[in-house]
Amino acid sequence: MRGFFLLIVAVLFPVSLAAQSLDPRDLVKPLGSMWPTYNGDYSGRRFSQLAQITASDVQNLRLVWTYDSGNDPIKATPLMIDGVLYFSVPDKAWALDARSGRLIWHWETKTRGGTHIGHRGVAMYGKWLFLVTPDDYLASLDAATGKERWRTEIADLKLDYFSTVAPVIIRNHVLVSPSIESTDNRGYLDSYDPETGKLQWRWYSTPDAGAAGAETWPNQEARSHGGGAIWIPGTYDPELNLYYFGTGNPQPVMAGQGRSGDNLWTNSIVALNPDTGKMAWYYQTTPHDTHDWDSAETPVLFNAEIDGQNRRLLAQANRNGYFFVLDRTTGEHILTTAFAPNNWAKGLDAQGRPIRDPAKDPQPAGALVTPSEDGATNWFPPSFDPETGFFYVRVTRSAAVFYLTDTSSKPEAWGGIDKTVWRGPSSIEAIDGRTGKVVWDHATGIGAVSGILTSAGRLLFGGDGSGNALALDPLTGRTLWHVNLSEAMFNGPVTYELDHRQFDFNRLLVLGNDNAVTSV
Amino acid sequence: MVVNHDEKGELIGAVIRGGRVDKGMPKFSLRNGQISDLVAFLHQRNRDARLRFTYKISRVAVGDAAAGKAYFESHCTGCHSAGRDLAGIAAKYPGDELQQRWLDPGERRAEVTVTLPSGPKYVGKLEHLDEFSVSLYDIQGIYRSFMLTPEVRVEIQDPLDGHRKLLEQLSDGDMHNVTTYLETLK
Repeated sequence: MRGFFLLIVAVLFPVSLAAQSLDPRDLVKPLGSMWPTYNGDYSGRRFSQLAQITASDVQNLRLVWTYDSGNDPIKATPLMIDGVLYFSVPDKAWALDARSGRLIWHWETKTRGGTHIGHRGVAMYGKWLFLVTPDDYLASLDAATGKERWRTEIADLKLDYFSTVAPVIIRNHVLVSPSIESTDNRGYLDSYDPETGKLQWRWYSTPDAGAAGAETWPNQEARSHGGGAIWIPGTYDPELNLYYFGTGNPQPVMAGQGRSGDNLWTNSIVALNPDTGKMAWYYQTTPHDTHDWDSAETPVLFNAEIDGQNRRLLAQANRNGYFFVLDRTTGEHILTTAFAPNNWAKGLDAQGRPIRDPAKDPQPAGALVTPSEDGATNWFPPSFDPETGFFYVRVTRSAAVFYLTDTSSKPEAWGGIDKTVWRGPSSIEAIDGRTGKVVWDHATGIGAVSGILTSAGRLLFGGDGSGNALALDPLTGRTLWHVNLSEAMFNGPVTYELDHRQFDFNRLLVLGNDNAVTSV
Repeated sequence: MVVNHDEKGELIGAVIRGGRVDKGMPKFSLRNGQISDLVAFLHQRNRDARLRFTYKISRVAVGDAAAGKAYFESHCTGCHSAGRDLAGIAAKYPGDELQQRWLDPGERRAEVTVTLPSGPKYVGKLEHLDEFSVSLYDIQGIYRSFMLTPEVRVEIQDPLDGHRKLLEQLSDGDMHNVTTYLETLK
């Protein structure tokens, strides 16, 4: 897999700076000149207020620098704070001068194991950086030097937990969660103290015995090994003080006969209080999943008028092919629409949840299912532009034959396997946030996986499957600019503003996956 | 959890010898050799469960061969023949692989025709296409590429179009029937 990550930034600070630092109270402000968190700001919109690059001058973007980071794909969203870029791959982190691409420091740790599938990035609190390692540590680094300050173990490596997520900082809480691939573990979200590394609370993705939701599992054993890993950093509404995130698939992954029921709170969108770890509400997007369709995709927060009332909303374009809009105060369902072809659901129930067709569960002789395990979309960051009211998502068409290989009453791990029989075209779609209708669809060829960025300059940035970085008109999807970067863009573009007079313009930064950070 | 944390039987052995009487598992007095056999078995099972790409798919020819033949004759004989290109196909591939191959035969180069606004036409094997350029190898094997403008016409004939259309409408029953029929072409 290859790809690039785009950043547009315009930061500007006097050249002589105090040491870089970030006050967590500043994170509630709208996204400005910096890019201080995974999604830029808490809303998950990846919409920048910066408007210096516009449709009329986007043609003037040019390559400024590249940085070769080695052989590991960069799936992280870099942070840009006070003129310094911070990004990571499994076991490694970098600080680069955002003006020149020069290396400031590099951190690397010797791993004791764990799946090295990807890494979403770092988080900053004061003058400290936080990141997880594949072998299940949360490490804190000095942002000025890259020196490790402390590390604490967040999961049991021997149970095959591994860690990929970018931490989210809310006040004095560092929120992190381990991932699960094959072993039948229980997913959870942790909150750690940013000074001491002490655990503040833990929320499990499956209910304890006797708790509401426990009845959606057949027994204690299935429930306590039931999965629900939390893969992707969530979003936050400071006024409601609710943190929103998606949970992953139940375990065993494809053989569901040992876990009859809806399997709450796997494959759900969850809202909880970040001070206590107490759940406020949940909404399950795929009851009793058997296709590995994690509901991990970013829940994006925006407000819109629905039936004459201004509502606080949350939207998610889900791996299962459906687009969901909820009231983010209560979790009340607003709408569900299909944004990509699927053949696994028989319709929607009264709460707007897809009704699973059991015939499309994995079968011993195979069931032909759309989409494949990879899903109609995946972890690639989406975007929401408040000026168009459109939600933008990377879409892939696919089909696979899902086989059930363990027909016993107590299967373990996967219990099945899927064979992709169609890797179809990808596209960037614009979905109207109020109606769920697809407004436009811009074809991007086979294999495109980039995330999306929008800006007040009336631009949308993304990539295609042929190594082109694209700028589109967010209203129509029309191409306004492109440059071929030789490798497909892999992560979401970001933007920032840097006060560097010799350039006149903001710059577009592109982070390449295999080996390069590129600034355009 | 015990198996994952166990290195060489120290934890599993303790459970077997001591039992979990409160949960209904009695103590077992087994010889060391018997315990180490059980430990090896549990570790192997644990490893196998994690390695999904080694999972064995069962028999896929569970459909009706006659119905599969009828489907084949109405949908596939435009390009394929049981007596020619598919003769003996079932002897070449195990059942699950045969099923995947007829659903997705793998990559085939599409034919492309590029017509320039000034009139010339170029025909060949499609090498690359995105929204900005197209390239091909022509009949002489010469590489040619063209920038795309609204006036440049690009027509593509993909030999796999038929397979992709089939995937959109194929029921699981038809899939099993066709696979079962193809399995008879030994």
